[in-house]
Amino acid sequence: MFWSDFHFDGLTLTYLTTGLAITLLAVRNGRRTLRGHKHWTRFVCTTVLFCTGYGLTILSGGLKTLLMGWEIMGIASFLLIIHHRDFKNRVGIPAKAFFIYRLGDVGLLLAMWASHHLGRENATVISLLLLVTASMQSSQLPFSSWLPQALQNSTTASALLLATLTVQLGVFLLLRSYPFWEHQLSVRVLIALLGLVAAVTAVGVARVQSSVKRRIAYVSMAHTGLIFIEVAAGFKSLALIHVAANAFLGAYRLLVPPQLVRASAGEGTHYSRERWEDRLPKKLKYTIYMLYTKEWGFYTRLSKYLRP
Amino acid sequence: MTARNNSFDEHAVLHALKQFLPALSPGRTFTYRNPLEAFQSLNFHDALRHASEMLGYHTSLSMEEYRSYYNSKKVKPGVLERVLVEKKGASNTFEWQDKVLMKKFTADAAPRIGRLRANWQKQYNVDLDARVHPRLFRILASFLDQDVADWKFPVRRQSFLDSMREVESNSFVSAFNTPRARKLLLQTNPSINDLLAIIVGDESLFEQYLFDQQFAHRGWSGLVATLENGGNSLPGGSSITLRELIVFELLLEIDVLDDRLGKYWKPLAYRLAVRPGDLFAPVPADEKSEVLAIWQDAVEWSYFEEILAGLSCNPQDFPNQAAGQGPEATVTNAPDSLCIIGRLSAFRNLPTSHRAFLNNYDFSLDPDGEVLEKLLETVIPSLGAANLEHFFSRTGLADPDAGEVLTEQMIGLFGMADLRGDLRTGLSGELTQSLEPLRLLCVVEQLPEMVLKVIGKLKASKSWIVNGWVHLVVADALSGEMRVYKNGKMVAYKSNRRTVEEPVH
Repeated sequence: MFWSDFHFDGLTLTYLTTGLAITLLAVRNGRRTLRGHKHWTRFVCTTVLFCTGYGLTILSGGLKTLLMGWEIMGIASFLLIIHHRDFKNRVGIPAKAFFIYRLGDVGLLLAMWASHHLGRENATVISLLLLVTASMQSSQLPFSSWLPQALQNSTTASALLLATLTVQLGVFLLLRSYPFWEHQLSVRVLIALLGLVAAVTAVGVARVQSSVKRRIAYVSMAHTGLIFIEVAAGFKSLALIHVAANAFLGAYRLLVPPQLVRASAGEGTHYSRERWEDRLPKKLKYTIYMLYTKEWGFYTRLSKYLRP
Repeated sequence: MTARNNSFDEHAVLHALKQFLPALSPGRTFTYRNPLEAFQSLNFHDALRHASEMLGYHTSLSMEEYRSYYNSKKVKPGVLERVLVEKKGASNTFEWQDKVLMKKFTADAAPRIGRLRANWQKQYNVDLDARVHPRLFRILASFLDQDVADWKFPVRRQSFLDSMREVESNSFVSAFNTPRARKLLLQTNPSINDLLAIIVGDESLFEQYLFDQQFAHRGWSGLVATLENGGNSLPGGSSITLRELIVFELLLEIDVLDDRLGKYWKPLAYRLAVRPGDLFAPVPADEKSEVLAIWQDAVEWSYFEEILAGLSCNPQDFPNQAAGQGPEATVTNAPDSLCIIGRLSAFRNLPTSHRAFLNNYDFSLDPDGEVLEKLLETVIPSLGAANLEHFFSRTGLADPDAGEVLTEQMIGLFGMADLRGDLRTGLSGELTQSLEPLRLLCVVEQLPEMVLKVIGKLKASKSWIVNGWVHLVVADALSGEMRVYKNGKMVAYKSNRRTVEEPVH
């Protein structure tokens, strides 16, 4: 029966409204910047494709439908990242994002296979596979570095969609599969731990980040880490509110970038203010600063295997 | 450009670098500077050719664009013919007309800049830029950051290298991955020369290597050079010099090479298969550059013809020009391309579609040209610089994709970075997309002899006029006749098809 493949509840509603609002914002923004550009048509088509995937995913009533939507969305996201790229000069074709997406699909496929063949007894395996997929999608550890890079490489309108919607879908997957792992303490602890580590790392990196887009990516990542904790703790409604808030905050930050400043404006005020980090012992302060500036080396480490 | 010998003089090279690097000021402050200032001792068209061959700059529109100007009547056939006659002589006009309009030219070869450093990739299979740049830019951006990061660079009131030293010596996490570069930074005070001896090995190649290295990220280097010149304008009282940037980048390069090639590797010069030619050797003129020069002149004079016709006091001299702005009138979109020095009455007939800088000047009150000298001395360098900044932003000087504003990202509130992570130079593509690249036309109402005398006395703006970086037209104050300054002479200007060249002196 066709209709049994779909499911509609509060979770879907939240994601549907958030998604609708963000997509409209992105198209509006894209219209401003891309209109008249040769890429405009392509942008619209990709966005429609993205919406199809997104809708399928959030309305899905089973893993099969979800996987279908997921795949469509993955392709569309990748198209959005490379949207503004001529392949003549192959400067940084974001192979990493593509790779992570595909890896996530594998997790989802395996989960589907496991749910068919292993049944309910092996819920832990399924939950773990779903968790891997979710943390990849949400750019959580240890797959954290694709989002900043993708965001940095994509145009503003598509970045908006990516940063705010795609990332939230990891949380969606966790919430949708909530009944699977609800009664498994180990999985819940693991989710919370993952979220905690990601939040702590990302917030530090975001604090030292001087590139506007990368900063937004890391802030979004830190929030998603917190949402993971909330989900693990069972605060589903709080997590949903947080998801929407995170999406809109990200969109706002991307849409209203700070103004370029004059050379020495506002110098005195900002520098007299002491941050809490300044009170740390010198050695610790410098170490943490360097660690965060190097983004814990995740970036370089992953890049070593995935040269763009 | 000076004669260069083989020994490496750090000071001289740094000075030369600063001249060649683009002036990029942080944030919104924008001071105009001739982007090709380093080439200003050359004639305009020679400078374009040299800059394009040496640094890979796009200094003119593409051949197709010029030809489309001709097809859309923005370049008038009569003007093109006149330019051809002037440049090539009447007997060669047909031959050159064919070249200008029809001939297919091969694409430009790779520019000279970057050839030496490309050998890291060729001989050692190390992509230095891909490994050094992200790290360098990140640290630089953190150090220079104005207001994006919540947690600012922890060391303040020190120079860049001292700050890095302070952090390195007190941190458990290093900016380097291998010990040698870290030791060099902490235990010695390395000079550029020492580091280049490790990396390049051959002193005669040092200068070219530095140019290659710095022009791989000319935006950042230009920003640092500007900050250094502008005194201390960094937040938190820190300072940075181009020398420090180079030293740190060289250290990072040693770090990457140590990491990739192991502890022992031969300097670049030892594995060099072919020595790259001198970066600064003169570039001979070829057919393509000559054709581009002809096109550029033709574009400019097609626009100027109309302005000058409007300015002329005797409209009956110009039968082509309908008195009340016929259908021929085109709206020029080229800011800062017209400057008039003369009496108010002379501006009366100015076509309304042109934005001009008007300077009220009465030749009869200035018998020995002193006022004119002062006027030219102030007006030409400032207007000329603004004009050329627009000009070269339109031709896409450094970055032909500058129009693709969508891919850039803001860094530390002081600039926009492109996909490669380098800062953008020049004006935003949005501003210049629909402009026409025209040099400044300066019209002076005076006696031609007097203007020639004044030009001889000029200081800063002399090279602008003599080398053709601005066009100077004199409206003879007595007869109303127009004369164009060309190669040290005043040549009579005729707007119709044929020009009679009659030098004044």
